[in-house]
Amino acid sequence: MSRGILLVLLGVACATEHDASFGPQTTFATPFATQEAPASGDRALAALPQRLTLDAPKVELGGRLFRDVRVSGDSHLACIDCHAFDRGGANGQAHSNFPGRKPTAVNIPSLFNSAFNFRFGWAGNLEDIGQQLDAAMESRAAMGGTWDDASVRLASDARVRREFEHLYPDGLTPINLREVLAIYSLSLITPNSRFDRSLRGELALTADEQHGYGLFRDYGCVSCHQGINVGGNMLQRFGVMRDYFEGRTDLTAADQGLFSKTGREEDRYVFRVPSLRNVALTAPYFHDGSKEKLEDAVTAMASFQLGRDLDANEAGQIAAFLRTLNGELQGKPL
Amino acid sequence: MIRRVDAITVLFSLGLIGFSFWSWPRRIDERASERYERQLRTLLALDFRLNAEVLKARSGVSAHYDGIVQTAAARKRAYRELRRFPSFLQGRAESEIRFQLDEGERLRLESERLIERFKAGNAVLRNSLRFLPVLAAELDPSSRTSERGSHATQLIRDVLLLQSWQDAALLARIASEMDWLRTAIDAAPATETATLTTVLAHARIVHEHTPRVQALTRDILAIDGTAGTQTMMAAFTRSHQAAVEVAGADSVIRFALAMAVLAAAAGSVMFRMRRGSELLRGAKAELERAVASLRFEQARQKELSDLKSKFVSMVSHQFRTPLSVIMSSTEMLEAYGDRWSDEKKQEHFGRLRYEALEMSRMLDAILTIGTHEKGLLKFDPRPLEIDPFVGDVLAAVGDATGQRNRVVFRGTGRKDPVLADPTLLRHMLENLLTNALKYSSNDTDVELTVARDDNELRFEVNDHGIGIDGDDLRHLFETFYRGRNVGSVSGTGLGLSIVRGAVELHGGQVAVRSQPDVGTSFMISIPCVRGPI
Repeated sequence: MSRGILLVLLGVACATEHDASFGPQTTFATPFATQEAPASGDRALAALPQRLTLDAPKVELGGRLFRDVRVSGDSHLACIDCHAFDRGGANGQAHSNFPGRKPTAVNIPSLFNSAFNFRFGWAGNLEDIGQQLDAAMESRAAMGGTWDDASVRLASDARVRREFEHLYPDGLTPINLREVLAIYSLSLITPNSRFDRSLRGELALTADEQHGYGLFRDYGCVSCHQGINVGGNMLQRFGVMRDYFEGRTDLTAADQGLFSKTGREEDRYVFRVPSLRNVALTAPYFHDGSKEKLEDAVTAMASFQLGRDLDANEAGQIAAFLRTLNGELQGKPL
Repeated sequence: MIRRVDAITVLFSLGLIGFSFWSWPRRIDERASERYERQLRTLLALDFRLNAEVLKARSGVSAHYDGIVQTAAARKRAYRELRRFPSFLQGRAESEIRFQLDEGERLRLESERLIERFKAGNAVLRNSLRFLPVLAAELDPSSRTSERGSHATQLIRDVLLLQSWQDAALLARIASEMDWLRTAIDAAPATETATLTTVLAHARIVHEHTPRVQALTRDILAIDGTAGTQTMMAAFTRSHQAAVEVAGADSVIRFALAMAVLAAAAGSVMFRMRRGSELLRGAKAELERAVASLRFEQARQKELSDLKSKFVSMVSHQFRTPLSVIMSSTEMLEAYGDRWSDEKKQEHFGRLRYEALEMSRMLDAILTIGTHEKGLLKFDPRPLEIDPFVGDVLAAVGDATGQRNRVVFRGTGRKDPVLADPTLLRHMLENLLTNALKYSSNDTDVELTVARDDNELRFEVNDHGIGIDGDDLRHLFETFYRGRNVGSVSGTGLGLSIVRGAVELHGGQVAVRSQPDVGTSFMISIPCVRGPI
């Protein structure tokens, strides 16, 4: 008996060193730091990495739920309905209007390459992909539900339940559901665009594209659309040189930009600078979807942001350059 | 002893368990501790790196903000990680670090707000700075020589100069140049208006944004998060050192308790081993005793069986003798009875009666010993005047053996009675006297001496007969045992057993002293209980 007690005691005496466990991961490490980001910093743009280190089984499960309508409050809408892959991760509508829902306040931004975004939403008030997913879940124009309800609906599916139990000790919970969707969203990167390959020296851009790239730099587009994601790493006032909203009498809260979230005057008309990767696929443009054509958007941006009036040729060349930013999603060209 | 050692073991064990649980919250998770310290150092480094990234962006060394964004994100993560306190960080140190973290977070948010404004403003500023030289080249060649042209060129040079140092005079000069140009544009030809307007717009941006961005840069760099981080590091180090000391003392106590448990457990094991070997030895001895007893019993059983065989042959022999006498006398009386004289017939009738009595006595003896062995022989004392009683017995023995005259009797000479069982006493004396007469020659005396005092009554029967061998003496009182030198003298081997039984029932003792061919003495003493007078 005493020998048994002794063993227990030695066990207790030796077990006082262990790693404390912490709560669930509710925020996500974005932007991803990558060794492929420009190291010297003297070049404003850089190629995307080929892949990210993510939990593959979670990505796979997240991918299926990304297409699962049971995630939405009324089981009619899946994530992919607003973030279509053939629309560059957006959905081609200025204000998406799905049956039984009110129209979205803004043009749905692309979800692609969000791993390299420093903020989310047009206003840039959302700090990580988790908050972005929360906003989409709660929005009456989008999923219109709650994580709790969605996990209850999915729990009735034995297969989904089993897969969560396989991946998480606590199985299918609202937090875990949110996490697999977040991880899947982060996995949607589009490397190997023609531009990235030209940066790596694998191909040469056409003369027009090359010229467009030159204008993009010289005219100052690159001042804001810069970094590994060609944008997505700063906030900027819409209308630096000319007033974009001049004469508009129907301004919405969304038009106020970050001001609508913070109420600070310095944030009025301030928006998150979007990434221009796959921009040729995500028409219409701007938060209000006011430009249908890429060339028109380029011209408008040059005017309002740079105080420069481009001619059709210049706008066309810049647009040609922007089309070289279409990448590959999951190994397939977009 | 073992119970005591076990109790000590349990006591120490409980002490160790209790102490381990009690000291559990004070343990140091070294991995968590190292991680925390690393995180603090990382935070310190990140503060400096972020400032460096801002300066690189401000100066144009870096053409993008990825460095700023990633460093800011890493700093934000570091603050979040620092909220995961190692378990030993408690009390004052924890609240101090918590306070510094809150303060640090406040500074971080302030810094990030300034950085966002810096990024936006700096992007616009750098865009204009990049664009102005392009504009200078685009100025209409004809206007370059004009006053408007030279003012525009001068303005561009001055706003570029503004990047090197911010001089109030320079700012004032730029402002007046812009005013001049704004007025001059109205008078300029249409070909120049667009370019000059653009020059003016970008010059205005540089003029406004340069001090603003410069101030933002200064403000960002002025936010000192490192002081708080250093305070946290000091608090952490203090707390860690204190915790290490306490945990060290805890470990020593735990180790001592564990050693005590080990020693007590070892002691318990040793005692158990020793007791085990003692038990084994005891069991072995017990086994040996049992074997010996079994052997003895076996020998006794054999002896008994031998005795019984002897008894059966003896009884059959003893019964056969009187029976053959009875048979022969009866046959002779039948054949010659009518011719024999009365005297002769009486002799044969007397022989018949004697042998029948002999057989009856033998059966009595067998029944008596049987009753005694079953524990059913009754002790029934009554007042007895001893000398006349012994005289009666002597007469009876004399009648039976016809040798009354050989017995020399010395009585007590007292008339007061004693309490004794006459039946048992008779059995005893008859047997002793018959034996003495049987085993001695007819020409020797047999002495019977009875003596008494207030405490005991003593009988002594002496003969000068064949005596008893030393080996036989030991078994003399056993049932059916007969000495080896009895020869043809008849006997049942029961007499002395009956004697012993009778003496024991009286609570007395019997002793024998004998020498072969010299004689035998039986001495009996029984407690003397005087009867009522």
